[in-house]
Order: sequence, then structure tokens, then C-alpha cells
Amino acid sequence: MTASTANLIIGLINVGLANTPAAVTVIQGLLSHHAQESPEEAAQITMQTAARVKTITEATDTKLDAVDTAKQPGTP
Amino acid sequence: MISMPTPRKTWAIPILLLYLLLSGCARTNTQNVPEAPQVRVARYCEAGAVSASIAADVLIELQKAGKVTPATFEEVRAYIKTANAVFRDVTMETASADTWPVMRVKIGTIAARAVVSRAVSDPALNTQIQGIVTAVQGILGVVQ
Repeated sequence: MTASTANLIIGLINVGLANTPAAVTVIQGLLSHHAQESPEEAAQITMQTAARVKTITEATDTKLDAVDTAKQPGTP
Repeated sequence: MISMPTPRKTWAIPILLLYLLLSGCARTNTQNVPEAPQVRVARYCEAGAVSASIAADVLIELQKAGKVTPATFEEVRAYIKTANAVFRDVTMETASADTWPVMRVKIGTIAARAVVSRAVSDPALNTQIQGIVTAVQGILGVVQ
């Protein structure tokens, strides 16, 4: 959150308008906007994705390795 | 009785109007804010890994039906496994403690291993291979 954004929110709180529905909507919008840029969230997403990709790719490799191309198709 | 706004609250009205204006901007921006580049790369890897999994299923079915030669099977299997290794290594890199400039170079080098420009004869298999290729191109697009 930038200093100017923080000052505006503090200003609203100071004049007693921070709890009005419009102000709450605005503050939530500003906070959620900045939360998307959080490096911690990005790190969490990439770690979770890395774990899923590892699982998917290892399972794929296993099923590919199980195929014996020396064997004729249709033979037991 | 209608009370006049106090000077303190009069001052607050322009602030509230400014907030309403910013609210519209913030909401618009929230939808347009690009994801962190490493998150976009990780999503491409996941999409590529899913395409590779489906490609493997199609390849195995074609092999069982005797519709691919052993040479083609080996070639496509090798490509899928190479792409899988790339997706694994790239996502590991996106989850590392490296800074984006360092990460970006490493990801570009890793992803280059899975660049191919050839089609496979079977349409069903080709679609999935193209899914892998598109994911690799997406990764390279983010890091360029």
C-alpha cells in the first residue's frame, strides 16, 4: 500500500466516515488490489504449483515408462 | 430539523468523492493487474504438464492399437518426458528464493530444452503436443 493510500484511509477514519458502506467498499477494493501483489502470496502459489506439477509429471513419466515397445501390440 | 454539516464533515465530503473515484479505478485495475511473472510461468507449466499427461494417454492408446511405429512412439515419449522435466525444473525455479531477474534467465535456459517445431501425424496426439508446445512458448514469452 502506498503512503498516499494509507493517508487517505487514515483521513477517512479520522473524520468518522471509514465505516460508511461506500467507504468500506472503497477500502476493501484498495486493500484487495494491493494484496494481489504480495510476494508472499506469489511464493505460496508457485510452491503449491510446483508440487502439483511434480506429481502430474512423475505420474506421466511412470505410465510412459511402463510401455514396452519391444512387445508387439495386442500380445499379452 | 436539518443540521448543517460541521466543517470537519464538510472537509470529508470531497475526500469521500475522491474515494468513490479511486474505488472505480481500483476495481478496474484489480482486474487488469498482471500476475507476478513467476506465477504466470508456473501456470503455463501446470497447463503444459496436464497436456503432457493427456498426450501420454493418447500415445499409449495409439501404441496399443498399433497405430504408431515404435520409432514414433519413442520419439514422442522422449519429447513428453523432456517437456515434463522442463515443467518440473521451471516450477521449482519459480518457487526458489531467486530474484526475478535471476529466475528469468534460468527459466529461459531451462525452457529452451523443450522447444520443438514439428507436428505429429495423429490429430489427437498432435493437439496435445501443441498444448505442450504452447505452454513452453508461453513460458518463453514471459521471460523474454
